[in-house]
Amino acid sequence: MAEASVDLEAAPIAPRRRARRRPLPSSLVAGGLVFAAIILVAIFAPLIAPYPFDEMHIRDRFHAPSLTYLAGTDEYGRDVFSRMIYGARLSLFMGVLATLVSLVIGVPLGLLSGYMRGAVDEAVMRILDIMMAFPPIMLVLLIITLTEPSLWKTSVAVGFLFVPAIARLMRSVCLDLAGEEYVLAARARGEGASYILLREILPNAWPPIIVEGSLRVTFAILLAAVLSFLGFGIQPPAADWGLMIAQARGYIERAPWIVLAPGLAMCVTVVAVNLFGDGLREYLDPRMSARRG
Amino acid sequence: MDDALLSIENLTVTYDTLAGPVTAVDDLSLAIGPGRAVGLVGESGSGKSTVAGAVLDLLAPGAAIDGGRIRFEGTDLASHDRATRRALLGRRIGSVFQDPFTSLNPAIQVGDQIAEPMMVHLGVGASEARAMTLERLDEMGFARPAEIAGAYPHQLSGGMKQRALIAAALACEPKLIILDEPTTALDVTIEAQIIDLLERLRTEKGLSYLFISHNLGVVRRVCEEVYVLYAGRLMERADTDALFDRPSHPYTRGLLASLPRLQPPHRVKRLSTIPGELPDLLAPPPGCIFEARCPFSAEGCDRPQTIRVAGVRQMTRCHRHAEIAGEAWPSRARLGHDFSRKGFGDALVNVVGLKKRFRMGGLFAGIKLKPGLPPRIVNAPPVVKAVAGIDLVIRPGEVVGLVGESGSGKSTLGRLLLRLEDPTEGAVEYDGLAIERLPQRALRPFRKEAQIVFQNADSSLNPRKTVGETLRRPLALFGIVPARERAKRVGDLLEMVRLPRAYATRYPHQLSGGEKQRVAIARALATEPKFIVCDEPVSALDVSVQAAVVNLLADLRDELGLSYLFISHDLAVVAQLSDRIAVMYRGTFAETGTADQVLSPPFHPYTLVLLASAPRVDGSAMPDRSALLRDAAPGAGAPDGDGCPFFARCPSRIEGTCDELPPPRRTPAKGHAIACHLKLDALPTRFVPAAPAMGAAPGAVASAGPE
Repeated sequence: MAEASVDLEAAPIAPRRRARRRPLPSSLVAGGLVFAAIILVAIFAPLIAPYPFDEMHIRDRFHAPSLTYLAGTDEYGRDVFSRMIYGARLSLFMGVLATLVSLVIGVPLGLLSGYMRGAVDEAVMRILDIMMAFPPIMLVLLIITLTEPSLWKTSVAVGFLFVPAIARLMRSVCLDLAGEEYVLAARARGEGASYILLREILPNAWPPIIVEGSLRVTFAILLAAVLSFLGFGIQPPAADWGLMIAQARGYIERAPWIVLAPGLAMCVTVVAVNLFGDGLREYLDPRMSARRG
Repeated sequence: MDDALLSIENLTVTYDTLAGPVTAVDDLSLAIGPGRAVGLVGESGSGKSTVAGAVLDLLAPGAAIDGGRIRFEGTDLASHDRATRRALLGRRIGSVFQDPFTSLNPAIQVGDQIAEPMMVHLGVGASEARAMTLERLDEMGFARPAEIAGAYPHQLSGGMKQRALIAAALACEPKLIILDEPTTALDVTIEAQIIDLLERLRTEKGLSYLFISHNLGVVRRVCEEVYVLYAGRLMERADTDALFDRPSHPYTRGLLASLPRLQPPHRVKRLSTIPGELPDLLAPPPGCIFEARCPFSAEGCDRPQTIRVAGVRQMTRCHRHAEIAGEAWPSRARLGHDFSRKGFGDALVNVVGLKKRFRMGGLFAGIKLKPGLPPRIVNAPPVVKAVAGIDLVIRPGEVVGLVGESGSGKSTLGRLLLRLEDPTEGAVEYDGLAIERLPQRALRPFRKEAQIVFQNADSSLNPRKTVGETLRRPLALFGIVPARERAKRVGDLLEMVRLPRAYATRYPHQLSGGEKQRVAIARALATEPKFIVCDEPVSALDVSVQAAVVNLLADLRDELGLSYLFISHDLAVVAQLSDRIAVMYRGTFAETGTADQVLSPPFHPYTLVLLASAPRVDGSAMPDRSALLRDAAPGAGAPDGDGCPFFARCPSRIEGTCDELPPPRRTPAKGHAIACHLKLDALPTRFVPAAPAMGAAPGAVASAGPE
């Protein structure tokens, strides 16, 4: 029996599995493009809008959509199209800020809870349970009515509202990942909790968090609109989609365009962001690229 | 073959992947006669499950039958419309899949899940279906079928679930059953019971089986003829005895050669292996698909291979099968320099009276109101004794094998030794240092010296880090080498585990299973440890890859003087590597001793069952296992008190003694300990392993019989 050489067992260099570029999901592309367009519109609102958002054209009150006023005018003769464009600024700002607030608080809470387990976990989760037990609108109203309403406060309040959901998601992801063998291997070489959480677990926890975050943006926009509608969010004469709908609801039969335009804008934004989030989930899911066969 | 029950003719199945079409099954022909048990064998990626999918009309989305015919009882299945075909398949072909734990709906009683296909396909009423269900369950050997029918899946053990699933497959009295890895998820003792059941059912009912498995030992037990698949192509077809005794295709020979045998380890000899890995099916080689890995490849192998006759009812896809019949599959002895040992030194790891209890449920799970006046609140959380009193010594350079079935606590023991879990009781000493209560910070020097390699190659590497990043971290953490030398050391580590240095830039998903496991070993080696816990390091790997990794671990032990705690459920793999073996059952050691002592009589009754249940490829008759094991689920009905944990399943138990008193330690020889109430001369000795039978297998030395 001939003694074979060392090379018998050395794995021959397998051709590097081609980094197969996966095509982007169409929902990601479509949602992303529309969302990007909305962000651009919001940023360059003063350049795009034909009129300042608060400029009144007293003679043209309740003007139907025309070439002069693309989406008509409201009860003060303000250009609805311009207000809609300016409204994107406030809505997006609130949506994004609220989501950031919820991520900044929720992600560390969830990570700690999921990794430490035991008493820390119980404490954090029960506090979040209490938060979730409050009707969300009441909670935000409480925060806002105690102080003067402002854009910032509304956003932060909405963000707080989302903390339990984000933290719970993060916790469940973390619970899963903490059992992965590379995490055990890190513990076996004596890595501290901060290294394990930040370098081993967090990089693998991002996909669901990014997706959840993108969906939260739409919830926040809707919630902000509700608050404005109730009169607790943005104060007139600022242009906010929710506020616009609230103020125009008395004229819905006479001049439906005043309600339709911001409603449509909100609709498009929500659908675009949702599509984007869905596409992102699909794209980031490693199972989608799993080799078959 | 017109009398065939199922005949597959020139079947080709293609998966439409994002990277291009992949031919998963290429031009496969196969026939199953009435009452025949036909095996379909292959490693992962061989396309064997795709064949089952094609027959059962259960192909994954993106997969399509590109050519060939599947005829059942003479009729082309494709000639039916989908609904007719599904009805026909449901009624006439039963199927059993790998994982009994997910195959049953947890929310529906088992009996209803068996009765449902009868009502759908046979059109019988509910009461009649129920009566038939009980009949089926009775045939499965359940003592109380009505109880099983009324149970929910979580109330049944894995083996019971699989038996219930076989009952469901037989619900409509099909003539053919397709079994796709039906025993792979089960413990070896349960696997043996299922195999016995399958054999009995086939004889009693005249069933035909298409038995799909990667486990050659099981296939040898169950099947009468075997088809060997590699990369979607048929490599060889033969009657079972011919295939195992006179394999003609190099791939078959390689598979058989790389199987570990139940024999005491050899410090010098290594397992045979099949080098390399599956070809890229996106761009398959034009010639023989196995050529790149074949030690016998020669001129002409770069041409497409046709099926040739190699013997009586034996066909092979190799043009050199006759020329190479006399050549042995290459094997080798130890590599590198000899780390000779003159006995082992003092204990490196010393464990005394180690116990670990886990409490179940949440923080408040144990709090109950105790009735009485006034009612009292008691807090007695349910606990699981994962490790229940273990003494163990591992010496420098020594490999201790730890064998046990799932739930025996072997992984927990491994983690306790590394302080990944905190022990409830007992002492763990490493190199003279008591580590069981040290704060994590003080464990740092210990962490550098003791490392771990896990089972699951997919989960053991962080998918977001390159191989280089993974290997650099321990180097940096312990300051093994200065920063500027780390890249070089990473390369050295990769070479140490026989991987190319260039792999440092790859991500885990760009590696095969065996390569990932090598990287995991390299990561453990990076801290320059003396002791490594290997927790089922090869269990998830294909046979041919498993052999190479076992050899690598043996080489590293010799080159670096490492000690291992080698954990596995597979006694043959453990025997391959271990100087001493500990057999674990429900948290305690049933038997410990040198590999020779454990593998030869006298045995602990449980060791005997393990040995007798392991399916063998050498064709030796299986001992009658029914006499070796009481029909109880693993761990079922164990005594609450101090009695022997094996009591419920032990055929030689002494009522009144074994269930009440902890088993004493019998020592038949120095270093050999058996925890059993049976006196030394009453311990079972009757197991005689079979003599080596195969030409291709180098030296299948049987362990010494009682004589």
